[in-house]
Amino acid sequence: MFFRLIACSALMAAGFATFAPAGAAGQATDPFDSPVWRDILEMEFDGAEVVYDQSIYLVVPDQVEEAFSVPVVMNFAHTPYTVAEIALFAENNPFPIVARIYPQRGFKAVGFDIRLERSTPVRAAIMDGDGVWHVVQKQVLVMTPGGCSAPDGAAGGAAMGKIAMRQFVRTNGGSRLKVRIGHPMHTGLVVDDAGDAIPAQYIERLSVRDEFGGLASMVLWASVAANPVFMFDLPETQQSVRVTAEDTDGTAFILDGKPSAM
Amino acid sequence: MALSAAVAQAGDYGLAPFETAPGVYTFWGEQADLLPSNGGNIANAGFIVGAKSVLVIDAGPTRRYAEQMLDAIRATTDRPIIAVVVTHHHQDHSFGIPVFVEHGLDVIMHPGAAAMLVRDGDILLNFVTELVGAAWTDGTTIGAPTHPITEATSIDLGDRDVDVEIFEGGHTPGDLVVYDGATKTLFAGDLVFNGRVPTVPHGDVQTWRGQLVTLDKWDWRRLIPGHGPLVADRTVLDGMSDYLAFLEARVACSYRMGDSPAETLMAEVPDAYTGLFGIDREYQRAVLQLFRKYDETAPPPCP
Ligand SMILES: [Zn+2]
Repeated sequence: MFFRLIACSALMAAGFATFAPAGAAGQATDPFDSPVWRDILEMEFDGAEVVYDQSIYLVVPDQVEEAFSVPVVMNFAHTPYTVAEIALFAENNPFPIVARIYPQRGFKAVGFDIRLERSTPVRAAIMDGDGVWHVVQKQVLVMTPGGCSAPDGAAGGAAMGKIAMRQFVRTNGGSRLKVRIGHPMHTGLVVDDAGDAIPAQYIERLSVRDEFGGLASMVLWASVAANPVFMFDLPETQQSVRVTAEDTDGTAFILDGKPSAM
Repeated sequence: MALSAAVAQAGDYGLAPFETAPGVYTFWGEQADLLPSNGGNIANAGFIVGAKSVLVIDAGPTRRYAEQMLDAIRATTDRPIIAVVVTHHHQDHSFGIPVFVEHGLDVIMHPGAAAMLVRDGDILLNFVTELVGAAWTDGTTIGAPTHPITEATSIDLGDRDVDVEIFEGGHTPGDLVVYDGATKTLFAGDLVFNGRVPTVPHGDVQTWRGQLVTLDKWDWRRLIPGHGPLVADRTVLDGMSDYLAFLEARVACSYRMGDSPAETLMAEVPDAYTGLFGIDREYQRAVLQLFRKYDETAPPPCP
């Protein structure tokens, strides 16, 4: 047997976020009624209007074993408004804000891997063209806590700063672009074998553009997983892509290239 | 010894050897998670008593386990123990190694497994301690083999020769199995899981499936798996192979379509596998690990 086993009885894949029609009426109050979230709202949304609806499809496992790398996808295929900005939160993490994403043109989905320190609501907040934030949330049960503070089983593998791109032609005619960046994404909370804290060092800025123009720029915090894979669903197929990333030490990584097909 | 139904004291494994075949004994582990109630005793171990000497299979999950196992063996036979074969590096099979070394016994292991133990041992030990409690893992340290082997070896126990065979790169870089020809009993280590979902992170699925075919052809009458009850029915191996094939195909196809693992995990596990112990955790872990693996090396074709 491998390690890190703990008891649980829930069945695998029993409950993922289910898609509700985009027109489903929203509500003005937090369905989880979370005081932590109330504080985050105050800090991050500056009094803007917030509505809780099902206007995006948030895909994340509802029960997680490997909390150091949890895949999340935000799908806007049926979102009835312009996605002006995206913010992702894991509210019980030491750093609740995970990312802010500024789309520069339309894409149908964005995803990447995050860390979860303990069980938490994961929330995606989407600002529409009128400045209203639409919030979708899902409770994620973390079976083995410590995704931000325990030594990281995913940190090895890729060389620091190595960027790889891949392109997948999707059945709907568009493409999915995946960008993987080799980076340990140190949270600053992990203690090494000698008992010393490993200083925080993570990618805090990422931008992607292609021959059609800018795609998105992102601001990231320490809750993004090591060697993250970022994915975007796009209406076109890219011939050339530029990825620019910069970490908290000021080290910049740039890749120009044509994504390889699978 | 009068065993009551009382919960064992932390630190006391209550080990009892069962004579699975003449001279072949098994310590059955629990089909359970690593818990404070079992001290990590979730894998099977055993020993073979020959006319002259005794061979032990697997060293157990902690120092205490190994000490108590040696006591239990000595209470069963007064013939001298000569060696332990450690089937692979995972903690539930290898963490008792130092006890055998201190007793001057040979520790036989594949060097690939020994290297994995060097690499992961301390991290594994921390995790196990967190899950089962220090009352069980106290004094446990990471050991190394005295006799690394890379070729099949025969061990003479007096009236019987026991074969140690090598399987590389399937379940882990170096798995050993032990075959007792006298009783046609095979200690298969974690190459075979019975009723429990196999763990794939250190292996290669296709290589492992090939090894199961090899084991299937061997002339064994009973097989002691690394986890779960005795195997007498060869379809257990087929079922394992089917699961491994399903897992690899699902992830390879999904990866090739460009899915996120979050999307892959939305699909249900087929009914045939939902009854396996640990499926909820291990399936998810395997999907995520295969995705990471395919980020490094291309996935196999989608069948
Ligand atoms: Zn095992």
